[in-house]
Amino acid sequence: MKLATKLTSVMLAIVLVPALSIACSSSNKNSHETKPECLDNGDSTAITTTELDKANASGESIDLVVYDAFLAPAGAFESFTQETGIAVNILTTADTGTMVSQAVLTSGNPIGDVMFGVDNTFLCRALLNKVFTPYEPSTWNQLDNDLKLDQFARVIPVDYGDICLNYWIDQEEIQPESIKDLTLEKFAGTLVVQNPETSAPGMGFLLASIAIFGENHWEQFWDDLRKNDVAVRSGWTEAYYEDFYNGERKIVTSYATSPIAEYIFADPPVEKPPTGIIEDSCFRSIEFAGVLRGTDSPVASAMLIDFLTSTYFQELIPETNFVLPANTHAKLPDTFLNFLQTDVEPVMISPDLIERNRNDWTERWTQIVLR
Amino acid sequence: MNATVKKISALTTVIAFLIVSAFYTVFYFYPVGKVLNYGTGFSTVSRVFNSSATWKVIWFTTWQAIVSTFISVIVGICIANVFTKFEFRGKQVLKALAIIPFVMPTVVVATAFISVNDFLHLNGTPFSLQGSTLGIIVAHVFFNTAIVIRTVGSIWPQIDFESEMAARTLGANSCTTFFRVTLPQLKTSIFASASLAFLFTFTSFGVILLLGGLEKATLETEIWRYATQRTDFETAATLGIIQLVIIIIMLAVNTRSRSLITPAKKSAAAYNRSNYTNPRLIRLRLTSCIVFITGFLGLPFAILIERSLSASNGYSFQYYKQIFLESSERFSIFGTRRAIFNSLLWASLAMVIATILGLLAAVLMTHKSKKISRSSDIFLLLPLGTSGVLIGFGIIVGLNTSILDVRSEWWIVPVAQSILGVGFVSRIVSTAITNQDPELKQAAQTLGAGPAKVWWHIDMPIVSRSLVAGATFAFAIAIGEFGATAFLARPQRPTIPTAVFNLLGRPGAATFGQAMALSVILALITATAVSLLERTGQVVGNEI
Repeated sequence: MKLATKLTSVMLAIVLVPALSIACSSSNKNSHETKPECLDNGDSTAITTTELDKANASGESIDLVVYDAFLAPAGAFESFTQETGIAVNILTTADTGTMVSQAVLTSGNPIGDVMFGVDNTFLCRALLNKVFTPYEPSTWNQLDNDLKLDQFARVIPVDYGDICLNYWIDQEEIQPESIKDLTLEKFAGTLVVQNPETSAPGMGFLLASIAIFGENHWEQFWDDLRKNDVAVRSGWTEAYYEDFYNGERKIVTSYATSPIAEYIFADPPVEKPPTGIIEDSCFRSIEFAGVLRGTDSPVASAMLIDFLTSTYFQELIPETNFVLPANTHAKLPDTFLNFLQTDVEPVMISPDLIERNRNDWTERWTQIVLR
Repeated sequence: MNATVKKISALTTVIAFLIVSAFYTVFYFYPVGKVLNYGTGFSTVSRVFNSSATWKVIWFTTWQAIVSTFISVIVGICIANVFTKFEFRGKQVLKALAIIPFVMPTVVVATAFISVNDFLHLNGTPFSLQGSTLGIIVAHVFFNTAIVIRTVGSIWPQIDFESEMAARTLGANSCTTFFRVTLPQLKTSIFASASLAFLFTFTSFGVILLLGGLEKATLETEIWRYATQRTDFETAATLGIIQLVIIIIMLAVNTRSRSLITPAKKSAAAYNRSNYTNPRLIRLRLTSCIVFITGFLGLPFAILIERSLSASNGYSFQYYKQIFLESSERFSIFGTRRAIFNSLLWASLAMVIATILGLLAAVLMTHKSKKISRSSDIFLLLPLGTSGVLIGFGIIVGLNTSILDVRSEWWIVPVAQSILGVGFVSRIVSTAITNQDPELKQAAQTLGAGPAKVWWHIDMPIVSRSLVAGATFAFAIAIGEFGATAFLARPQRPTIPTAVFNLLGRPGAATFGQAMALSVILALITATAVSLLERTGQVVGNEI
């Protein structure tokens, strides 16, 4: 009996002690209450590297944190290791939101050394929580200036892509030409989108509508869409493969590069992509990499940033991850040269503005579309 | 003699306690406590509790879990009944098939349900499975029936059938016999499976999100939304605390009400099948059961198979060939073949860890002292009722001290998976141990058998069957990649579920076809592994 009582109290202690001991220190670590302009000040010191440092980094091993959908091009990181002597472990997390939240939770004491994949919709959340250490890569001048959202080089653009409405080209009906067509009666019951709170393309299309119709009219647009029987799914996969693929819905939120993937992964092979994009419906998404603050290997991490933005790596990512290279010197693969729709006019919203309004916008969207 | 026995059993308890509590403390209590601490701020707690949305979420989470559990238990008992009492061709196959839903990637099941919806033209009717509570409950029953079938099914062959026969001989009809004689003997296993099913449905994530959408929010999806999409750890942690408190209450109620039902006389006598005859009823029950398993549990799977076979030029094994034979460069990034190997390897590792620890935990759960057995009953199951997001985030913030940083070690994934598996193994095994006849043990001891001998000859045969049932779930949880592992930072190493995820994340007929084929392969691997395990369990059980 004595043993029983002891064991029980030890068990209780195990649960309660950590909870109580930290309970006293208030833990208001994230700063979503106060929202300074995230792009206006970069306060930490940048990493600088010399040739000597680089040589010394050989033999180190670093962790690259990526989101779940990222796939490493075959052999790419092996060749980095061969060149530099630095081993790279790729750590996969969940979606971008989860990855950024984890980085915020461990800011200054990161799980890896470099993070790749934070996009412009989550950028300010990461910057406000001081997740990154600045480093200006040797490739900086080759990178597209429009993509360099952070002038302090805490994050470096690696790739970009557009979130656009896709449609089947061979449909008999009249093609949609503009995002504004979607509220017309003839397009009733043809659109499927994703919930912006659970899906990156869903968020992208909501932001596109806000940028296109403006703060005063975007809600009206969604109200009209709802009247026009828009379907909402939780994720890209359900919307694309359940509603769009079997033709039940003829228009879906996806990416500007999706038609190219349709071509590459077609079965049987096709001569040209079976899908097209609505050019004025696109939201520009930029993906960044950065050195995580608190890394033990700043030099090796900086060298990995150089590598991620190098023309070698930049030319490999289009066909594996269906994004466009940020390095202007990188050549696009043939499939992209042949089939990428180039007359797109994507819209953007400042990361600051997104961070400030994200919750409000999604809540208003939910009220209009789902309630 | 008696003193030595007592000493040994006390020593076993202490060792089991030390190992199990060390494991739980390091990989569960400490990390989760650290994350939950974000939710103890007064302002957050009062804001969460003052919001009517919170109460709505709590209410929905609880009632859908209770209803789903209740239906799963009833359906599961019916199927377990047929599996126990009848021998028929294809029984092993059906039995193995019944566990498949449990390992299917949620996204695959959800798409299968959506197509069942289209197939039966349910959209727009009150029976629509998409975006409705009905869809969530049906999917939960689909996932969790296997738990009841396996747990109850591992006990049923060992109950006292003589009293059943006696009752029938004395004129009781089959209904009365079932409720008055059979059910009381099964109650421990029924309560055990009910608590497992409840934990699963209470914290289910993918089903809710994919079939219900965020409109049908539960505590789990809200925790996910606040923690991962809004980076609001305070609210997420407060909701996590609420989730844990409800789980603890429900588990306590479960344990309490289990002991309220009077225990029936038990015996380890094996059932003699030839004695039981009532051909018309048997055939009816048998047919309805088979129809149900193949229809309800089988339909989504049938759709999956159909899709994996439907290539551009009619039905073919083309997508399977692409996985196994073709080394086309465009598919090399998905690493599908390596994924199959990895999944088997890592799931086996997680299963071994969970089985060993689960066996030790079962020692605590069946301890003579009610205090030890009841509290370990609750504590050991807590991980199953804890949000996967919070366990994952807990490991990421918690398991990093100045001495060692294990957050991104290769073994953290099987360890995190086995934390859920331990609950299963210990729950199912402890049920079997409590269910055995104490007189048998006493008789052996009186005849001079030492504790080791008693354990090997009396406990082991009874335990082995349930140990296999538990190990099956530990394996299934790991190969299906449930819960926390999605929220860890894990080495990029393709497994079947991640490869399916990546294939389904890129447009194209060939990626979709391969994803479906790979899901079928996952199902077949699981079914094969489960039948192999079962056979081993039977061999071990019979030999001794």
